[in-house]
Amino acid sequence: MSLLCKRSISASWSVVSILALLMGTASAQAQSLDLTIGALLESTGPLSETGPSIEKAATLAVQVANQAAKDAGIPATVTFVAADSQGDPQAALSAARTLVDKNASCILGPATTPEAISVLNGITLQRKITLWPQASSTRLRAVKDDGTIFRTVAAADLQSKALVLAIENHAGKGKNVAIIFRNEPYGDALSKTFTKDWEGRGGKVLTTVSFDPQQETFDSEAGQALADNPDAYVVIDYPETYAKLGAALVRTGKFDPRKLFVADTLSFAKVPGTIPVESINGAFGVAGSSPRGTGAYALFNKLWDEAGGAENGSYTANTFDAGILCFLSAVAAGSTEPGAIRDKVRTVSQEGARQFTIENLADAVDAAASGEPIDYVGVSGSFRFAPNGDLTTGFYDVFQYRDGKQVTVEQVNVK
Amino acid sequence: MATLVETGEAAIEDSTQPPRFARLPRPVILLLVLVAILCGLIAVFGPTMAAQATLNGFVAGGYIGLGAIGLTLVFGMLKVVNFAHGDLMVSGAYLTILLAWLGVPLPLGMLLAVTGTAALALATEKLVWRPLRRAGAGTLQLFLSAIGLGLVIRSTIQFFAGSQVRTLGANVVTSIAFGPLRMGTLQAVAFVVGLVAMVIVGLALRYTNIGKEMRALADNRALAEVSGINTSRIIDITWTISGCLAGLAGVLYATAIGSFNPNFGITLLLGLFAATILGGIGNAYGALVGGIVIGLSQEWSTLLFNARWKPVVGFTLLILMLLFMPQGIFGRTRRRS
Amino acid sequence: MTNAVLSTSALVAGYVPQVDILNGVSITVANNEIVTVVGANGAGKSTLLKTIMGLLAPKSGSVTLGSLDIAGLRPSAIVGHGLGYVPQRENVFEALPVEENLEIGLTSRRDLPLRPRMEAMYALFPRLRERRRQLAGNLSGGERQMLAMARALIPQPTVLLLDEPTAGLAPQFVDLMFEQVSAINQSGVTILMVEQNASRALAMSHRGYALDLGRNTYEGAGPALARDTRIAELYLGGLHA
Repeated sequence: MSLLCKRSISASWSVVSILALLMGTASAQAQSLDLTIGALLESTGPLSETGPSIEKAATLAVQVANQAAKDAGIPATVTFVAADSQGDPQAALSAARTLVDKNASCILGPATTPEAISVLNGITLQRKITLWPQASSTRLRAVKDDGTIFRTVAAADLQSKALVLAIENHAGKGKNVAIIFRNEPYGDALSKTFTKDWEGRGGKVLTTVSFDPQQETFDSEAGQALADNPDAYVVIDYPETYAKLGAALVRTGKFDPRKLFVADTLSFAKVPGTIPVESINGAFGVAGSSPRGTGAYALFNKLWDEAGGAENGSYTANTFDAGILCFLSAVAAGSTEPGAIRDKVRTVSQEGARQFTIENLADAVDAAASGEPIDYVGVSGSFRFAPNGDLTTGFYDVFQYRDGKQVTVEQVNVK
Repeated sequence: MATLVETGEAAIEDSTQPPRFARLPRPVILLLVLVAILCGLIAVFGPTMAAQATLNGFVAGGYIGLGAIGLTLVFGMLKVVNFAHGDLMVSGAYLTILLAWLGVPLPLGMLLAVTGTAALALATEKLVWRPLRRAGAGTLQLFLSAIGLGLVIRSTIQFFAGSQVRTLGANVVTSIAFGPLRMGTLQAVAFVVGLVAMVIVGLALRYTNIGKEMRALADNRALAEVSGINTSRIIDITWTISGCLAGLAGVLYATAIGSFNPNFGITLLLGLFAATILGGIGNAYGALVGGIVIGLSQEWSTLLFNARWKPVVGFTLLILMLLFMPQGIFGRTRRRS
Repeated sequence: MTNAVLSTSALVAGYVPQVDILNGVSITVANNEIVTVVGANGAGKSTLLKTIMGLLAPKSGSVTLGSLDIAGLRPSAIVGHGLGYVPQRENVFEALPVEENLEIGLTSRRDLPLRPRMEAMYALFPRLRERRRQLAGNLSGGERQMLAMARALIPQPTVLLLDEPTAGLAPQFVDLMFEQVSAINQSGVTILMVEQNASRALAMSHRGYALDLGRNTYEGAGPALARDTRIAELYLGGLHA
């Protein structure tokens, strides 16, 4: 008996001392901001080509943020956690839950609209966690998100305008176009917007073929799209299926890759080995990008090259900027509480306020911490968030694949 | 108890054979329907488009049919709905990749991969199916075990090879031109190999001793055993052949389609089952014809509807077939009792 | 009995643990005999044949064919040692033509020439020759039974096990069947038969056994057993009542 008593007394003592220790730690770091930024990465699945570069972009943002906090002398740290969303809504949701368990206050990604909707409804909406998808479907505007979704990538309606400009510049105005798209919300929305925009500029859409991504062969689809010898073809697809569709297009014998214009999901620095080069060499495409020639752009590229690893890809700068915006918002809010961060996003990207870039991010941290509204000008440009969380302007690269590599031909800024 | 009391020849004949006029063979009915549809398509869309869609249908159907032969064998012989068959195909493809990575030349690697898949199929018989049969597992248990086994194979491949898209690097963009029509070179090769495999399996089942023993076993396993057939040996052989065919289908698919990930088996599986049922369970020719019927109807449908509805057409057809020809194209009318 | 070709001793067998259908059956079949086993429904007659054939593993006891203990061998191996078996039901391959049924029957004796053996079967059962290209599933009941016997006889077994050969047959076929069993026996095949039509079967048998609750109770010459009043009361009367 006495032994038992003794034991329980000593147990209570250790509980008390642990509690005291915990409280001591908490009070010692009362001013400290321990922010965790999560990222949903397409490490596997149909968009797995994009996983490594997006991960690297997010990691860079966390490094830059930590450095800026240190330089500014404020006690803030940023931790990075990531999970694989697999291109699948269910997998994305369970990955997001993991991130939330790891205290993520905002989540970069996911890359597709169905994943974003699943994550939003499953967890982030209820917890007011800001979600920064790379998905560009306009359908994300229609969902009830309580202001938690911010997109640093321009939505499909802006991409559609960029595609129109690209085709006008490289195939000609008012030409006949065929559209082939992978049957899912992103492709569906973009093809509709594009059709409207293209016809609005006097062009003609000859055929619109949508295909089921689970099929083995796409020869009939390819044949139909090219049947009437269009002047240009718009392909809205993912690398996984384009490996098959592209081969089928070439097999028709009517395919000219220089007439091909791909949307941003088929943008990669180097053509993956699974896609036959004959189906893409010479093709044009558009992808969201960053204004060239700025100091921020040069610095970002320098950091990217220094870090080694994955080659630069699409939406890396946008993802990087999303990470910085989340960090600055947390600094401005003086809190890692997701709702407080959400409420400060517009305060750190406020038109007319003092402008900062990653070149002077420490100053931005100082200003934000003191409660001053700022305007973070990102690597991918300024952020003017519409009430729905979407950008009102977008920078796009028009690129061409040459010798299996992406070469930027020109830049367009669309509104 | 005896089920039948002898009532005289005529009565028995009548009960098994419907009147002659209604007994136009099912394959002939099917052929007439297909020709009629083709004529209609030519009339509406012109000969070139209809012929190209037909060619595409043969190609797409060939893939399904080739995969379905091994499935239909196991289904017919052993009444195992082998949900792992698609994953055996994937094994064939990934064994080829593994061997290529080890530096084995591609044709030899393909051959070894097919052999390896056969060995894997035989191993599933020894380690899973035989113990399950001994334990008296019912159809549902066997079915669920097959799903589980497929998952294990698929996950193992994913664990070692990752789930990203892979390629065997064959040239998939060349095509053969027949006038205005085009057919992928490798697809043509895959189709011909599928056709040859089907004919070999069909002839072997018909004429060789092992083929006859396999058919006997499919019909009545207990009677096969007491007729002197070592049924365990024939079952092993059946799995080996099924594994060979799965491996061959997987390797050809991976080569001719060009790119794949470990999930291609499971996405193909529904089509394989549809072909098996359409063709008549256990019939090698039926599997290929079933595959081609699905391929044709899917590709033809792209002339009429947007291509995204292709899969729906295939399965609508399957349901119609089950309603009107439940035994499949080549299936035998089931025994009375 | 010195010239026994098939014997069981103290055979115990059953389909599930704890429940034994055979509780120690000991029978002997001498060379070139017809032996009939009679008994009420559930006495274990068919189970006895299945156990001898290896379809059911004996829990104890032995089965001796010639000088070989065949208990525990798989049925296909037992067939190879010269035992033929005609099950009562599902005894033909319905999906196969008559000819292929016979070919399958020869699996255990591929050393024998196929054509002459097939001709021998057609000589024994002329109806089968007429039907040789038909699917066995389309045969009449009597023809099926002939095919089932031919399938078992084609590899020249030394002993043939017949499970209720006349069950469900029309009367004219019953007579024919018994005649054919006799003919087969006269050609040198030993026969062990289980039959519901007990009085007729016993009358044509050399010897008979009566089985009750998994044990052999009476034994004697066939015609004598057929006349035995105890047997008649116990097993025969009930069937013809």
